[in-house]
Amino acid sequence: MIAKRSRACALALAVFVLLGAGTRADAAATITIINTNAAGVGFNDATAAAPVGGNPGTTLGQQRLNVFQAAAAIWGANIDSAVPIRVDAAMTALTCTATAATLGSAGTTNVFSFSSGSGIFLNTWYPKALVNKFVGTDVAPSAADIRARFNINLGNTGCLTGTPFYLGLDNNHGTAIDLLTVLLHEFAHGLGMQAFTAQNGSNLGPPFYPSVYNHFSFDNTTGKSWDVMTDAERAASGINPRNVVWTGGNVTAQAPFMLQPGVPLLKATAPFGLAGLYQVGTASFGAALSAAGLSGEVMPLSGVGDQVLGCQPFSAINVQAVTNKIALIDRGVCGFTVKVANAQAAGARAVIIADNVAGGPPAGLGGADSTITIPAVRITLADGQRFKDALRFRSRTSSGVLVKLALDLTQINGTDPFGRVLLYTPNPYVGGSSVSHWDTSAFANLLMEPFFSNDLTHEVHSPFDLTLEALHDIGW
Amino acid sequence: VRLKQMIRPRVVGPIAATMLVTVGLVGATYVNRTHVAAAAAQTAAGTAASQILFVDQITGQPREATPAELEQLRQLQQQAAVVVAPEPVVSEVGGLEGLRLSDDQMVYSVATKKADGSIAIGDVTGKHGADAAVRRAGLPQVLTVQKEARNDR
Repeated sequence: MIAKRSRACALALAVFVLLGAGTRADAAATITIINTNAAGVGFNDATAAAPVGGNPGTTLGQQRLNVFQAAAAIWGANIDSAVPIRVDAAMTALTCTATAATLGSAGTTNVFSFSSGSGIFLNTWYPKALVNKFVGTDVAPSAADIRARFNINLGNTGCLTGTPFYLGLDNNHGTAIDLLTVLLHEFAHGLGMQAFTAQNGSNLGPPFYPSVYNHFSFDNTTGKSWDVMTDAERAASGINPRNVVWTGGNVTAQAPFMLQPGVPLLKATAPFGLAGLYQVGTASFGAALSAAGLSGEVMPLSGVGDQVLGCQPFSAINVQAVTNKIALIDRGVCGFTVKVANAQAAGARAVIIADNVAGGPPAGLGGADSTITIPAVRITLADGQRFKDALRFRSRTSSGVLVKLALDLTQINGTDPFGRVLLYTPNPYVGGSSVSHWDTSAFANLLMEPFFSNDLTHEVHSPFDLTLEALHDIGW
Repeated sequence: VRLKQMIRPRVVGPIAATMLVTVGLVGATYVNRTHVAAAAAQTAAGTAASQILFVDQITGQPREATPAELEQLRQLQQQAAVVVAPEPVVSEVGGLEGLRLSDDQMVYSVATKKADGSIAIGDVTGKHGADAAVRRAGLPQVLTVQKEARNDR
């Protein structure tokens, strides 16, 4: 239990924070895995196991523990604290079915705030381990710093059957789930990569303070940082796709070394009321967008049913409309490749698919067809409607709606025009994923994206990843 | 023609439709990027409820949910909405104002096996949300019955 102390004591501690921060060494941190499993269970499971992928353990329990300790060692070698970080860890039964399972969870056990001091954000929730680092001692020694619970049954019958954790340390996980990667990701949440903001915009509380993470979350539309927003503003910002960025200097400085240049874009140049940049999702088939780009006039399809959706060979009228133009086609009924192949056969130079359901950012266009050679992109339902409004006054062969599809090599993907890395803020909100992760447009893939990619390494810093830089930004 | 008939808007009642939309979102949080976008987009549209049907896991055909399935979804929605609030504490050293976090402030990683056998992994906030997400995956899929969904990345 954490004892209650006086406010005066808190003030004295705040002074100590400054001293501790100024005298810290540049060494690593010690992260200790506290095995809280009972005898014979979890980390103590004595079932014999052959060493795998650099994990020398000869029992199932030891191998599990070795992976946890490997994750702790990686983070411990990268972050800096004079105060040991303790992870209360257990392998335990977690909810699962044959086709889905909770892999595990991790997070800080407590958050604390400072009421005075400098060099820190006041009245702001910090994760316990980071508070300990600032203060130079464990402020709540009766509690571990991070709690981690992972699924002991994964891969067994009825628990994501046949897909166990990979307990090797070499990332050679094949179709199994790389436990080390999952641990690195979840431990990062426990170290502070977590917004803690509710979907309705409410801060964590009471008292309802912003998290340190919120101080670096900035909405380009409103020009406000999350720590100074109202609940309503945060709620709106949380569903403002690709318009919320991380403002921390360490991440921004390293992003060019990690992320590749080239942001796909759709730029409308006419008519005046439509002019501007529009977000697009790119296709997994057809020609990739180029830096030089492709400019042209947009034309929609006409007709009824499948004719207007591009699911059948184009009518003579539509062939006349899209020949040497960029076809605008609604999503629906048939596959993307069918629509684009039909447009290509009709002479279109490119295709814009307008989504038929609301939300954003626009997803990519899936599918494969090696005969397709023209580019295609997806735009949101809302943007599609704007284009349709502008297209109402067209003739059969001309619309006056001019666009350019291109890859903007001056901008790094996964960032805004100022090079700040985008946070994941899809509309609608995705609990557990929104805000507390990088946007999925980042490439190369990042450890702290909301969905795991198979090409992740076990490195947590630039030029392989940006998680460490984000932790540096919040005070590590 | 048959497909278009299958995707003809169906109204299962405002309450049930709303429930499907919401639970669909819960389920979509851990599927994959495109499923998130697709399901999320469905939920945002005012008329989207009429586009959502179950896909029977045995026949692969779209159908309306049974009352029992709707009840399961309702319960999962309620379960996901439960959040154990953090508890105010003061640190043992220094008297810092703090919060002891519950399992519902932890980040849960959830894996789901997709139709093609691959595994999608994503995060869900809180134990209740994670449990609901896992159990939701055992129910008939809530998807738009559009061919693109099969191709979506």
